[in-house]
Amino acid sequence: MIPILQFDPATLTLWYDTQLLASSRAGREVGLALHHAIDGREDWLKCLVREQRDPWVRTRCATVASAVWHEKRHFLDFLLTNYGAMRVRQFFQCYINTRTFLGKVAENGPVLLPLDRNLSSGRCRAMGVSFTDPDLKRIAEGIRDFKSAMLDDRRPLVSRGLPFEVGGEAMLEGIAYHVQIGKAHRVFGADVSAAIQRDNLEQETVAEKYKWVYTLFVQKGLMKFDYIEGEGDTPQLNIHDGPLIPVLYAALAGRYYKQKQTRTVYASSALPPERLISLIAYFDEHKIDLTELSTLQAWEAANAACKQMFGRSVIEEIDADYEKEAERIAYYRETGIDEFVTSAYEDFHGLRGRLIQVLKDDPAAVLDQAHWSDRLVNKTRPFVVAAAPAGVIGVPPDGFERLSGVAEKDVDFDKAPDFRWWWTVIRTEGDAEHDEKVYRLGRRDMWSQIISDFAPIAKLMIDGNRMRSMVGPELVSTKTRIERQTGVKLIMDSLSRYPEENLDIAEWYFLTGNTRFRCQVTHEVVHAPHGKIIGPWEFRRRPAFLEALFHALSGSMQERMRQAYWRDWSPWLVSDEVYALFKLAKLTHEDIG
Amino acid sequence: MSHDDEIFLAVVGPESAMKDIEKISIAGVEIDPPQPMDAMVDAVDAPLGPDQIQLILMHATVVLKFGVAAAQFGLVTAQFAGELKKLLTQTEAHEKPRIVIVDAKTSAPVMEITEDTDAEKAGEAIKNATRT
Repeated sequence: MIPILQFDPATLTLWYDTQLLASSRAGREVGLALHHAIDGREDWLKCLVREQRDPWVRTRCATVASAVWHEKRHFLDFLLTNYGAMRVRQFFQCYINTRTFLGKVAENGPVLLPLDRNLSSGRCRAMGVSFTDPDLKRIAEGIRDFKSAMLDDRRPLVSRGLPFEVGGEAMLEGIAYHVQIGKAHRVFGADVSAAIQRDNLEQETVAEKYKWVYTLFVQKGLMKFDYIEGEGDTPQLNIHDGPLIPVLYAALAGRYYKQKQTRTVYASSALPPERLISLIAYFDEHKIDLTELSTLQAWEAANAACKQMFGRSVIEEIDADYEKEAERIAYYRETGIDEFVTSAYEDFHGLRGRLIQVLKDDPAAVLDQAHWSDRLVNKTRPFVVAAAPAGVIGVPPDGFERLSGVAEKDVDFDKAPDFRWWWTVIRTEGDAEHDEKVYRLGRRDMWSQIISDFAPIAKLMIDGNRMRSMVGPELVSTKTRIERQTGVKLIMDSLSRYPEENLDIAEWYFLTGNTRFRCQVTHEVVHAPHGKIIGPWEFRRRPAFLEALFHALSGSMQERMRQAYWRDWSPWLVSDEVYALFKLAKLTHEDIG
Repeated sequence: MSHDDEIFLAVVGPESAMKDIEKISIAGVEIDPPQPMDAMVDAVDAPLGPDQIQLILMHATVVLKFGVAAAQFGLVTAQFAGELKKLLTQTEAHEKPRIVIVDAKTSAPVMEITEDTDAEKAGEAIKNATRT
């Protein structure tokens, strides 16, 4: 899929593709909607949506704004829940080991990426790698273990009669979607909210990724709907959603620090799906009808059920997790393993503590979609990264600072502007300590370094080039930098050299609202549904096509095309005829980094 | 693909099929424990794009010992293909019953095993692809 707006758990930041948004048929309006939602300027947002005469623009502005709320909810839940904090910790474990990794790679010699591939003796022999350093082994085993934990979490529960994924991430998605639609209803009204629900490629009212929550909760008697006749063509649904977030928060409050788990025939305190099934069984067995309960009553019931089954209420589980996190940070501080990363983790921990206090003092603000919508979402301020996969020549615009890009040495940029560009920039918001009214991580400068330096290294260690990224050079340039720094070749494992792109031109038409484009090779106009989209990795995997392109040009045009090849990591839009030629060129399986 | 007297392959398939791949016991075939293809910890997308519930794929490295005569080697690869085909009977209804064999070093495709695959022909194809 083409990523347009994402929440990155590795850096707790909200990312958007500024060039894709700008290429939509109402780039200015959609961009304004995005920033109004980020800044919590709801009156401006309402006004912007209301004044749009074109239904597509009206809906898309509202959809993008609501997607920002969706991602802000992820920011909250990744901080507040034990499951979310565990996901963040996976990356911090890599960050804290980064300096060790760089030092030990220099001693060990070439290693495979992702790092856990080195634990397979067959793989090492196949790739000609010798992996002997005990510290590197320890880091690799850590990565292998958390991948295994993620696998347990993501496994669909088909064997238990549920044909969908019910893991922790699916729960976070269910919560974010539910509050997003609720908020859209409150801000824009029923019609626009309904349009947002259908504003997806499949035009489904509720996509499969989110539908399971409602299906499961209704099937298991945890939630109910009332049908209200007489409004529009289809009956309206009134959702009694009080128990939804409290029960999911109880499921997400697992034990992730190797604490003793409580396990019986019917209950398990460990993984989110196991906890959820335990809760469903508990409410059923004790004939507790959640459907009529308010959010706070359901929260009380969920806490009591967890206390009874697992020996700890949800809040007590969160407190225990928070304490373990504090111990982990104190250990990092004592050992002095990496002062910078420890400070960033402390910042995360501090904000998490503030949000846990909100959950204790005012649970409705977190657990009730209406209260969250009215009182908390606009105070939730993740840092915002604008990505420009094609690269933007020049310096970042006002209000942004560069995170990644290129500025060639000894070049007069007035005469040769093409030699300086940026791929990612961060919005320059004030540090959080100057504004106690918002929930934001503390120091932007510190997080900028996490985003630009530590996170790409961690992503390479964890998933090679396969981890989806809005900007490919984030990974490619980081690998090159490490190789220069250590003097050692990092060998990208053959299975992890490229991300799964699977791009579809229908998606580009849908996202931009355009019905035609100009082929980026022949410059002919291509009309929907024709044309093809080639991902930046796929494009680089057919070097013969690239060479043919270069040879078709001459002089400065050829030089500019070569430069564009380095700079431009956006997908290529081409005619069907050009795509047919492209497919004829030989596909390389070599590492293109 | 080969390194002295060993041939390295990677086998990729749905988790339900791959979980038992290590149980395949054929003389001259060494199989590493299966591992997930992806870390499944990447960014979470805004709900504008297509549905993103993805099939969990696992991979395992397979080492074929090359120190046998060509005829015997063909038998080994056929037996191996037959065992992989048996694993497909364990796949869940929502999964694509398909195991892909690639060159471990380059990931260039070697062979695809489906429920309709003829094990002998598949073995021959693996042999030809790996010995060239």
